[in-house]
Amino acid sequence: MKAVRGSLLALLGVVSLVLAGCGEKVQTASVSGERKVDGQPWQNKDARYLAPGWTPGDQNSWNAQLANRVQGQNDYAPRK
Amino acid sequence: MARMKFICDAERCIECNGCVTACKQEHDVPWGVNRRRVVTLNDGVAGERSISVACMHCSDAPCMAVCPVDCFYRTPEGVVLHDKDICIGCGYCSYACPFGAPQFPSNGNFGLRGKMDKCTFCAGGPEDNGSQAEFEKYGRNRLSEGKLPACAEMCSTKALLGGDGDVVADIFRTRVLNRGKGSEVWGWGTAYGRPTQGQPGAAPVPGKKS
Repeated sequence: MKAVRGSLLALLGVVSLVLAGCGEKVQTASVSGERKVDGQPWQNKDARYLAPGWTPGDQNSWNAQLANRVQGQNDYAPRK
Repeated sequence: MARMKFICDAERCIECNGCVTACKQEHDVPWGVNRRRVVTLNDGVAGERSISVACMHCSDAPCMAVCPVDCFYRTPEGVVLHDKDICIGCGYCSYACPFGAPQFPSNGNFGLRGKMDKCTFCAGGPEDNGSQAEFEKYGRNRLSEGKLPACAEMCSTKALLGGDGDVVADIFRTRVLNRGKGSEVWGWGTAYGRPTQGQPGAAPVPGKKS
């Protein structure tokens, strides 16, 4: 009985060690070693959180949106 | 093209740490990492000043210069970002940065230092804009949503300004003219250079007398 319990405990220990290893996130450098290319900020396929007032994919629209939005931090901007 | 910059107006900052909280909430930043923090100078002394500090997205970023694996890049909008798939967590950028912006999560076994994390000006990183992979590695990409950094947009006293450098400088200048004091901008010269610090002066305009 003691032997069975001992081997069960040992098995549990091994299993928990193996599972702990699975929880470690991979931190190795990328295989290629080259930096990925970032997209343009006015390109966004996910429309869930887009601020209203501009058209995704249109750079001029994005520029105008940010130029308008930054005035929200200006106390002295003329009120509309 | 806009050149994104931060300005913290020390006359207005009340050390509420709202910017810190907004940043942590917006990007789901883990314990032990603060992309933004509030520093108080002369704490407890009359005339103390607080400033909100994060990556300033320097014009000539020292972190980019010292990175041994060249994981940093600057977007056309002037935002300094990095690729976490390249970063080896060496910490050189942390030593080089005058603002203490690079942070390292201790999330590995045996106290292993993780990949560097820092303010992204809410511009994400080199993944698809708005993707889950981008969020998990770099946080929200508010710029691609047509928004500005969360810290600046939610600042209750509008002390922290973030956006196109020319515009936020104009906003700050107007304030200083109206209140007649508080023109000092901590970190601005270090991050964006000034002629007295070895930076070349403005190019002379042909045909114009100086």
